[in-house]
Amino acid sequence: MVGGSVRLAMSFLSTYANPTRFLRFADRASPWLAGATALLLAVGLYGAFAAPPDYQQGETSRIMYIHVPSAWLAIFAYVVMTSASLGVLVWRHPLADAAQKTAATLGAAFTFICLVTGSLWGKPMWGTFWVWDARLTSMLVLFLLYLGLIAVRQTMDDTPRGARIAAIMTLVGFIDIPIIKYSVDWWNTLHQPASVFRIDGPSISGSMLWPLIVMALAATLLFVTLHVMAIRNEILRRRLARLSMQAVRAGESAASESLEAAR
Amino acid sequence: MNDYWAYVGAAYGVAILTIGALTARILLDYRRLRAALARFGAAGARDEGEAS
Repeated sequence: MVGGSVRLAMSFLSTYANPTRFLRFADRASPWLAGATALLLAVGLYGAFAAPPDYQQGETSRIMYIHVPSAWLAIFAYVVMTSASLGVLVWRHPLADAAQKTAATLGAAFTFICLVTGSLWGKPMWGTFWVWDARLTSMLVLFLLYLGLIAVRQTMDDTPRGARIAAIMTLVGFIDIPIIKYSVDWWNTLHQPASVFRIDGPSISGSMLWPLIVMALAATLLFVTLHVMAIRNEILRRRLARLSMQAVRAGESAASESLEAAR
Repeated sequence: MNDYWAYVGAAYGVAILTIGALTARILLDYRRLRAALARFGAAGARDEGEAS
């Protein structure tokens, strides 16, 4: 089962590792992905506002339906970046580099949403927008990691060296992911422990769990849609940069030919 | 309890604005890149540096 999935994933990756093939795939898949995302978001949002309020937290518990999926996506984006970084370092593939580069912006956006919605949930429940507890601080570190990686990519050209440095930085930063996940178990924090992914099953009521799962699926599909579109943009941007360089070189050689002819 | 709706509204507002800005940026970037590449295509330029 797992072996078959891995073979399927490897077959997909090797087929669409070609930029031209990926562009064709992105053009065909984007409208379907966007449509499926919109449908799931509509169902998830309906569920989020139709679900009963929490018996202790009241209406503020509705923030959970965006806070929790954005937290999962913030981590998921980093896992995608780490996998792409391995693709850069092992296979030195330009599409893996484009995937790594574009996931950083998406990851930063989802981490930002997670931090802000968490603060807006914390104020009425904890009495403060922010505390320096382990979960919140490790999430802030993840946001700073994303900003750092975006800055590194913007200061370096699309060179193999720049891609390798960003990939190594991403792999080093991965240490923050298990810290985020287990921070609520390792330290005494104000943030509640896991209530969905638990060994003894979810501790959350079914009426609140299904909208949360649908919103998480919608957020994942939204990430996939935006990532496919962003990788497509990155391929086109690199193609445009190469064409511009070719035009400059052609202009230079035409100028030198004119100069030779003028002598 | 009604006061709490302001926090719920603000949280959903921030999420919608952030995702909306990100989506708009990606779509506008795509239109700009397609237009720029079409200008090169019209001039007869062909990308020589990419396997296709």
